[in-house]
Amino acid sequence: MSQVKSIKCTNCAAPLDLLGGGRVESITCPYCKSVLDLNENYKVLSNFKNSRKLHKLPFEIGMKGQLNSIDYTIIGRVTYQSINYPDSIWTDFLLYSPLYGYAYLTYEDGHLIYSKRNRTFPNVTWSQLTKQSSILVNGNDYNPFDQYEAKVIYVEGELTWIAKRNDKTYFTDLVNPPHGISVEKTKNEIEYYEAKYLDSDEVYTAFNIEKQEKPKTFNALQPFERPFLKSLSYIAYWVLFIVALLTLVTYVDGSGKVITKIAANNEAVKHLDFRVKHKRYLVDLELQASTSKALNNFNLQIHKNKKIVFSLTPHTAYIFNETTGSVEKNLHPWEKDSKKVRVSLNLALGNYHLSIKPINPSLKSTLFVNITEASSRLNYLVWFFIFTTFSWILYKFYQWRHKLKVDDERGIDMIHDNARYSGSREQMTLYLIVLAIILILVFGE
Amino acid sequence: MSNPKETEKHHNCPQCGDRLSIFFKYSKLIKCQSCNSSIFLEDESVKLIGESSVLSSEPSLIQLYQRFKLQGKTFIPLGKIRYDYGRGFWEEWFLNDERNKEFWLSIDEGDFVLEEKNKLSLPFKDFSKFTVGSRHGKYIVTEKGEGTCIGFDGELAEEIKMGEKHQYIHLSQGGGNLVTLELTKTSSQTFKGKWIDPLDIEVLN
Repeated sequence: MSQVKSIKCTNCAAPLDLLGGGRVESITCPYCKSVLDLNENYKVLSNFKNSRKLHKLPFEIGMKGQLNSIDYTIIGRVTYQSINYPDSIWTDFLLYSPLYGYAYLTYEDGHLIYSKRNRTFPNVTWSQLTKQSSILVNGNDYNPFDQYEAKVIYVEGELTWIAKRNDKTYFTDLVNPPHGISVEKTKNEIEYYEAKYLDSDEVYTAFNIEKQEKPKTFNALQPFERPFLKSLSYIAYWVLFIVALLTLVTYVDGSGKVITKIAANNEAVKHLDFRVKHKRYLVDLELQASTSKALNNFNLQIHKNKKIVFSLTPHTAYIFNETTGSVEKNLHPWEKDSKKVRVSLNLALGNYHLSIKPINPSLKSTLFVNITEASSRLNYLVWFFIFTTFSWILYKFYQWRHKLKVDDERGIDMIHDNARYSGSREQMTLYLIVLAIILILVFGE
Repeated sequence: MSNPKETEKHHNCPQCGDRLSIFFKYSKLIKCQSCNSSIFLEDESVKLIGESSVLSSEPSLIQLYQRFKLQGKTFIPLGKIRYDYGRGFWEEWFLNDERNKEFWLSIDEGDFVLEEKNKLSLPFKDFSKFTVGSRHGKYIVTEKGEGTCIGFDGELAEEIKMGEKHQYIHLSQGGGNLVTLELTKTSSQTFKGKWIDPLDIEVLN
């Protein structure tokens, strides 16, 4: 196994442990903050004295943790400040694994991003980077997000290059959240890093650090996360499919077969025997009168084997237990101003007796009753369908809003921006129109 | 997967007399697993070419004779050469695939390149003429470096010289495609291949 090598600081003679493998080129003494050049006999190159307190972060040199199933040790850190936007400060922690080499953990306002060098970036020049609407890397399309210049303001531990105070680096960020590509251009070379936004709680747990406050700012690599709505939106796709299928099946199989039709009036009690022959679906009773007053002038009862199974009045609706005769279910009575009522009953096979009794024999009224069997009801599914479709549209709305936010934060204006904005607006309008049509169809009826 | 099969060649170490297990019939150099002597294999004979040396054991994803899968192929590492560049080292692993095709896997602290020997001819082979960032046709020089051969293990299809300076130039074609030019005092070789993600390596038991 590789061993930790130890050297002495050439400035203060403090013992320094080297944790980071053969590519380390500079080390900063933790005591006197001198940056030593490993290529030049540990010559002092720069000093970051008195600046540690300003840059205290949850991560420390020497901490160990597992990221992407790789065991890493934090061996160094470098803090940058944007030259264009001086409020923008971030820190790259250099990670080292003897098996998998080097990687970075970037900390910015509590956001954490993991990145590793990418060797498969296409041969694109620095100036071409921001002129393309997207760049394909490893099967993913990355959009140019920002191009900026930053300077080194603080360094600690070991680095695989020599970083001095105020050294400048040019960055171009390409995004496809939660992934991104960071292109870094220094005096000597251009390097490409493949980045991934990490869940901060998971990283703190991995490095055995107490959980920190969640970031309050927005990061371009932050993925759009609405897990509950996302799940519902996926369900909505299936619900749409199932409802379409059920509607088709119902149309063919459960559209209902008329058993009998009867007309009753205010002059006498009307009796009718009917037989339920189909086990599938429900038995529908459709009551219709010319006025609501006429409809409200009748009571209706259904008996089986001389035992009451259903009773309906303008104020009550009961389903009775066929064996015990007790009330099994209390249904909602119809609206008083209704002229048409439909009741769906789950009646077993057999013979039934229907009686229709006028309440006020002097009120001239006629009631038409249609009894249909093998009739299906999709009411509940329709509500479920509306709920999930609404969730789907809500999810799309939040996704759209997130995209607008990313676009707002972008520092590079793309040629295709207007078309893209307009396209996304049109898409959102289409979703809202779909929702409106569904609501009109359901509530309109 | 079954264990690698020895070839029909049978030789004994001229230093300790122990049997040499040879897995690649075109091997020219082998490390005796008993006494660590470096042995040159000629047609029908063996020749001791150097004093015994042992490479320090370092953590590595792949091990000698332990098969692994990568990009749909199964490879067997038959030998490795270690080059020292001062503060660290890189290793060149000699591999065979299922069809006994030869490959080289270069491992340098998490950077992995899988290459095959290539007959590509470059306009010049002067190490100093390649500068990082310069373009040569469709290639861009992305890295150049130098190391010293400090030892080998297993078996190799060619002879190497301990202590020999070894220069390399990486020419990138974009998209992970790479050409490596290797130069020593006496020879030059070209390799063509790709950068690979070490997480794609699946070691087989």
